[in-house]
Amino acid sequence: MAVAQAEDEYLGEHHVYRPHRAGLPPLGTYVRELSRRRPFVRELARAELKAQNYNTAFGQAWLVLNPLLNAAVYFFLVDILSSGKGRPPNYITHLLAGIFAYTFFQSGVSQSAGSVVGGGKLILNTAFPRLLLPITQIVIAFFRFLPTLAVLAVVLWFNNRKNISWNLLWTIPDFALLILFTAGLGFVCATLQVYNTDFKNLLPYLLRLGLYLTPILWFVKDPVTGVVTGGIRRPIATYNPLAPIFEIWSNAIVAGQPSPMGTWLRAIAISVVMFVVGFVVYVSRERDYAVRI
Amino acid sequence: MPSVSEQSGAVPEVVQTTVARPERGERRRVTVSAQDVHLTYRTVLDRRANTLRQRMMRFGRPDATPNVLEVKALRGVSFEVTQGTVMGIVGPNGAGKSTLMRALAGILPPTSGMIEVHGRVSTLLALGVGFNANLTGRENVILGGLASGLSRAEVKERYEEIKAFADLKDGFIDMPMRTYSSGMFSRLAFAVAVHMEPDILLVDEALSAGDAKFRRRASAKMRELMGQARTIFLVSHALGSVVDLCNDAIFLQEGRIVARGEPQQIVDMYTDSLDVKQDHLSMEEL
Repeated sequence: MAVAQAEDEYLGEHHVYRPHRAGLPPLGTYVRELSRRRPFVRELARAELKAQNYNTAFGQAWLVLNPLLNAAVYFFLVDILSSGKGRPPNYITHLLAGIFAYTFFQSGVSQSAGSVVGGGKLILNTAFPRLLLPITQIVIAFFRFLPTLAVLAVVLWFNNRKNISWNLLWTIPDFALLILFTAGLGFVCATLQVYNTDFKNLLPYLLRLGLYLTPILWFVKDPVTGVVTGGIRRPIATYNPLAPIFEIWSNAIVAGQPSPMGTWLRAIAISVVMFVVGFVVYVSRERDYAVRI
Repeated sequence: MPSVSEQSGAVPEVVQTTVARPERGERRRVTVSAQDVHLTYRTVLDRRANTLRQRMMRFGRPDATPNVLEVKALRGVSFEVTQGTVMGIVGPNGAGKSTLMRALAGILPPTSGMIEVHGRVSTLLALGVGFNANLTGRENVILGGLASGLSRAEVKERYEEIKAFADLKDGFIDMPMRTYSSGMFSRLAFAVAVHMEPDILLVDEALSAGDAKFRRRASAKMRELMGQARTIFLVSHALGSVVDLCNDAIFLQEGRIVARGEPQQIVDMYTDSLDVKQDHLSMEEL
């Protein structure tokens, strides 16, 4: 009997539905169900990428071209605003690395935000853990990010060869933190969009503002003197939750250096907290989505 | 998990029956049990009220709260259904039939009460399954199966059968579903739902899809599933199908179960209440 019960629970074949105000569903079962439906996430991501033509050579080229054009725009913008007073060394590498990572963050958050509202029929007609929808969008954003790594590698080789070292490996755990942060914020935005249908109009402004507030167009530390930049940039770098993640990213790629322990701790704490908050906000509300959309 | 006898004994007889339920020769496992299920939606009359812009404009004006309409879609629905039952649900528009189906599928949570379901549920609801029109039929079949909780191997195993059952014109299975006619769309949806090997199948107004040939095949498949002792819920305005296919029926009105019993008697009650004759229009078959 005990075995049968465990099997029942595992297969999701014994369901008890009670009022949704109870808050979070049993987390163990929920996470197991999520994990069991990984093939659904993979297949949905693959199918959506294909529907957006990203499985073709030109589709892949566009994935690279788009952030490159963005980078070109910001490059000239910063040059003009600084009256061409000379840009710091390695500025192009720093800008490209930052823009590529931020493009992942931006598309992950905005696509996740629309995933519930856009999943209308699937939500109304099939019962499954709703968290699969924004997770799929994060997976898609990651696959769209991958081709830009090739461009980054070329730029690094030609522009920054002397700083290539084993410290580049720090980008892997750092990017994992960025994924966690993006997912958490994406979960929150998806929930907000269900309850505020015009949130999608506000989000692009917030994400653009986020780009300017993150050390992508500027350095936290002067790459020549190593002095932490002053003025308004200092509080921004301190309080912007994305700042430590992008600081570590730039240190590893541009300067070829590890980041201080304090920066790592801030990045880890912020990402984990964002993910947990996003998870709780989304999952505690998800049974309400079918009523709302 | 409580035993069968515990389950049947624990639930009080709350269904208002005016017609005696058919006697069954054997005592079967309860697969679906609803206990005093209420489901209330709160819908905002003006959809723009759910926008940040409107919320900001209303800020500081408590009297300007938007008109909220409370829809009591289900009001104390209780029943038990045993394995092998084909339950027809009839009722006028807005009676709560589709809401009940979604509640049984776990899509809409009850506002109060409890629903207990034993077995794998497959849904074929009014708006079609969660097909993405930009993806091909093949991709949608795979996604539909995976979303329902089947493994990739299980979906692969059933794919050829689903394709053969839907019997789409050559090549359509690999075309985006936006190129499908509504009949083809529904045929594929029906094929997916019935091939998930569900223990409990929920069908809402989906049987009228397709041409005469397909309806015949759909009807045969339904009978096959009934023969395998699956539990089926069938919402239909084609009352002929309810009489023909079901062995139990519920008459739902204003969110309440008015009667439960023999499908023919329930259909009689329903048509009497609507003051319509049982002619070929109301009794339309599958």
